[in-house]
Amino acid sequence: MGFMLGLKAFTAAVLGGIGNLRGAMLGGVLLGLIESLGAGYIGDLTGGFLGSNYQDVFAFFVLIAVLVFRPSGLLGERVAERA
Amino acid sequence: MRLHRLAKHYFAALGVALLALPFIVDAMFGHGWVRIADFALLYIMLALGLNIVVGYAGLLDLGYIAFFAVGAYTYALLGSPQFGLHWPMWAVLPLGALFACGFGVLLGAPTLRLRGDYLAIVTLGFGEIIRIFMNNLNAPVNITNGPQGISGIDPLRVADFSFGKAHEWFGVEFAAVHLHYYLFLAFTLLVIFVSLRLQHSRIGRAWMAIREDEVAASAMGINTRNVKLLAFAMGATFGGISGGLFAGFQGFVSPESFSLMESVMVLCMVVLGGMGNIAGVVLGGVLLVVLPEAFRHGAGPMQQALFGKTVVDPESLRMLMFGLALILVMLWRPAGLWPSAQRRRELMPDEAVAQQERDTVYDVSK
Repeated sequence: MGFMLGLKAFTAAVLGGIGNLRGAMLGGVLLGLIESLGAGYIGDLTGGFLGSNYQDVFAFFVLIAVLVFRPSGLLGERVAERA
Repeated sequence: MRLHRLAKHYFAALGVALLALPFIVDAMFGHGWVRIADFALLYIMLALGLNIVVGYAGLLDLGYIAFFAVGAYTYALLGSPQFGLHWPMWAVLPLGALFACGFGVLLGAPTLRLRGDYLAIVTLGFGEIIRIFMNNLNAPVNITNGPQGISGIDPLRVADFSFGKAHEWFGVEFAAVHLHYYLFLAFTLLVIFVSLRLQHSRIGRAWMAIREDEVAASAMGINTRNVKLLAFAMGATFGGISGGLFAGFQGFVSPESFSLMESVMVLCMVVLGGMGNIAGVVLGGVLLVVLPEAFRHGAGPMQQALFGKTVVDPESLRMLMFGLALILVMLWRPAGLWPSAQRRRELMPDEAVAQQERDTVYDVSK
């Protein structure tokens, strides 16, 4: 249980942008909302094909989708090329 | 390739030792340990596959076990009573490898622009997604049988020869675990051979260039997109083959075998053994499979002998010692137990060489 929680914390931080305070807060709120709402409505949206047991899939899928378009998170600055 | 005469003898001795190993192990420790040797070979294959992604191309992949899972489930679904399909091994294994390869590209494509933490968390998420799907795809249509897993999987079989039964040749009995050992050994050697040939090929050098500096690599004309995708695909293919063999060997697969812990374990083998060095990765694989098992069997009796009773449960002590060993190795040998020559130079610089470099290479006046 605690393991998944730590994982979600990391996910939220990455979603907002690592090293960015506001990003971490935004990421946390967004991830929580998306995950809960997604888990609640996914059954209706897919006609009962996917249930709330896909909650974590939903969270990670959103993360991947966001990072595809913003590779350094929502509020993260562009990652410096290696020093 | 011309081998030195001494090297030839060395390889011959190594070959004989590898062929005789299951019998020696069987005679000394019993049947169970031959099984552990089989698992060690499977993990070596996995570690070598991950070595391509992490060691060569420098892309941290925390969801590698997903490809293992894809290979295993492909074999399980096409060769079990689940769908009543019983496809032969030579059809299912390549198919599993192909599916895993496809998933490798699927993971690689959205992560091309990501680095560091971002790449790690996305690959980790990908691994979890695969596992959760396998856990839940039993409703509304039952595909993977959910958390109960798929049992009764066909044994590995080529034509009429089944690896799941004991055979007798020349008056010597080869048990099923022995036969699996030879099969897995053949596959492992194949994977080692491919890895070796890749390492110094054009592609291998392109991977290493990306690992060292992606911008410089792309400036040198390397198509970083294709080369990175190839690394993911290649690594995933090895994982898929290993997964198929695992399913046939075990006869049972369930999502539990493909947890994040397994990914971490395989990554540990690569890092502990020495990233990018094939011999090191093999060593890491052997150690991380054999040592915990030895501990499992040895810790109880040892405590009995020392204190007269079992003070700490061997199972919990095992993970404790594992973590401790990992930290100690990384403190003393930051490049791994058997690093590649290049990494050793980077992480443990020889002062004389470094001084010479400073004097001659970087000083324009000389």
